[in-house]
Amino acid sequence: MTEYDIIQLCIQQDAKAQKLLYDRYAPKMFGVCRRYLLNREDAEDVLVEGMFRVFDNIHTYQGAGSFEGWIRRIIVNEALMFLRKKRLLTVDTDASELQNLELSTPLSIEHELAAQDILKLLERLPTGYRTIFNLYVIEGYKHIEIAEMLGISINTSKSQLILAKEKLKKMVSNVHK
Amino acid sequence: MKNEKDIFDLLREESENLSEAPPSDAWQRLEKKLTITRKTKRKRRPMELQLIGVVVAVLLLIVIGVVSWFVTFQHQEVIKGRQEFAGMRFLRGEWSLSDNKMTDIMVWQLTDSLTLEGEKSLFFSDKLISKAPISIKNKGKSNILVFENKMYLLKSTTNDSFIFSSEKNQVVRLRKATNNRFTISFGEGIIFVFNRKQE
Repeated sequence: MTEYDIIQLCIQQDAKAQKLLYDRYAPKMFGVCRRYLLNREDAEDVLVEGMFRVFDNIHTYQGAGSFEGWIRRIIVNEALMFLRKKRLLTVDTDASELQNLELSTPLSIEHELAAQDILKLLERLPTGYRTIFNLYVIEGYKHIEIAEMLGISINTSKSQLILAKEKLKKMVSNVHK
Repeated sequence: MKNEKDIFDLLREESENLSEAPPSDAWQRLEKKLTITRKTKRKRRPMELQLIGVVVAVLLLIVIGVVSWFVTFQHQEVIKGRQEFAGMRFLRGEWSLSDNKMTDIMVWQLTDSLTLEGEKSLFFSDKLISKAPISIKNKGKSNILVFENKMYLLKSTTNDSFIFSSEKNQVVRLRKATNNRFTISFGEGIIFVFNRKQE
């Protein structure tokens, strides 16, 4: 059964097709949830709500862009909503910390350090940093979009990203020592 | 630095492959929510039907509105017509027969000295209601009964007796009359009792 067929059946509320679609995308989307939410139960809640929204709005999928990307956007939005609702998303800007702060050296890493390890490091970032890092680096959103999504200024988004990268850089170098 | 790669590029690439099996009860929770939605959506009428329903309801409201306005307008015209009927007072309120079979009854009371005679046609709201040869002179106590589009004149004879006359010169006798009730008889055998409906 092609993805198109599954989508069409899901539009008709076909239970088997819904399960098929869930099995196909849930592991990846749960991975997305885990990047935003440290707590596994919270991530599960977001996955359930997000996938419910996917099925509820599947008739609006126009076929423009990949279907996985469409699902991912819904899941990410759901994660952000969750963070906002639980007041976990606090984006503080420490102006003094930001002065003259730039990534002077490229953040490089040897291939040996697995992405899973890096994600573990990511988990140690404060929620605000991690969220912006995820949105910018992983999802590929622009600062203007992030600012709109999180209700912050573009400059805050930029500075939070720099701080996140700096922290990450320090953590990576500690791992290598 | 050949083997080195930007940490963020690596993360972006690797995140594509990152997946984690969700807890088994996640699907059960989701399925429960989906089942409820499925039931609700099945109950829901198709959009087209809903739209047709709305259009029909709106049209129905418009029709009801127009009809009510028309009826009210007509009624106002009738009332106006009644009030303009010189020298006569319409006894407000509806009258009905005791057996409730007839309701199209209007009772007029002469208020001034009025003479109706000859074949004078009487119009009511532009509608001819009687072409009867009429001849009656009265000073206040007579009534005119319009009933089934025919007009009867009630003439007081005594305190409790009136005489009706129609275009057929049919004699109608009012047996008893109070403010809310009167009885008339046509000839000898037919008796009608009229009750005034409470307003």
